[in-house]
Amino acid sequence: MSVDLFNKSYFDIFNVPLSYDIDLNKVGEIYLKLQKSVHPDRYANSGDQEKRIAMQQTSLINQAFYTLKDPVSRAQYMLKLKGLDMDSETDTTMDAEFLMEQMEFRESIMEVQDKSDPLSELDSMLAVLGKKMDGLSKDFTNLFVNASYDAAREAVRKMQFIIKAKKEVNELSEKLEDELM
Amino acid sequence: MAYSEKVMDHYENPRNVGTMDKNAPNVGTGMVGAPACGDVMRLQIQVSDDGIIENAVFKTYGCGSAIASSSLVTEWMKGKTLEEARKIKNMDIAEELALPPVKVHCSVLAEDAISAAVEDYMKKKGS
Repeated sequence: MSVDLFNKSYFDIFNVPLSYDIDLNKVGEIYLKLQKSVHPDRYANSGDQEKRIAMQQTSLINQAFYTLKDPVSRAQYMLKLKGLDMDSETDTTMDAEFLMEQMEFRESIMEVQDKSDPLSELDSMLAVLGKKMDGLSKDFTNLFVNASYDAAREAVRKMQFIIKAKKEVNELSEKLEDELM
Repeated sequence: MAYSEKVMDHYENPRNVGTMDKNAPNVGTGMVGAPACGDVMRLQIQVSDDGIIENAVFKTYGCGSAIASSSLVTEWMKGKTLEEARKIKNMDIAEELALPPVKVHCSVLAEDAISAAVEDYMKKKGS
């Protein structure tokens, strides 16, 4: 393993194309191989500098792997490579209709506890959210391929709300299941 | 994270939670969202003919700081003119609620919600 790793994109590190639809199994396999090759234990008898580089490589490989593994952070990273700023916390304007829909969805999550079978309601909510996420993923893929990066960024921002809603549904499911036991 | 007393107060007793008819001509609605934390905020104002905010309501799905920020601005906006309301800045909100730096973006969300609500009202008035 050469120091060159530090100049590569995360996609190049795992030898996959710069694309949203990467083969995550392949990435996982290469991740394990890379991890072994730079494992600090292999450098037990090496000099301090070599050890330090091995550790830096390990943490780079970890960061690259977890960035590519997660759909939202993968998409964000792709846009960063194209020079778009994804970190801005202060950019709050979004498609009002989408936000309205999100608000209604959150309201329905809160109201689900009053339903006769809240758990199956929550399951169908997860299915709805899953479909939305799939749709946004497809949008992102196409927009990115067509170099419509601003629109692709919007799709990612929407994904973040879907992920948050999913998290809330899952948390409520767990809470209700605990109460049933 | 430890919330300040003021945040806890607004969080436990949120002021002016509610909904107005978004199609009413004297109502302005501001919808904003923060992708980083998935917070969604809706702020609505009811404006008199002479441009005074008679009433303000909100609904926020988010953390305690986001709820407190929106609750606080509904209190602050009442009785103000649209121009005065627009002068409410996120740092005023953050200071009043003693928000820690990592939660300052919640106050930005509230400031943006004010702008969005005022703009929505102005657009209705203009057309």
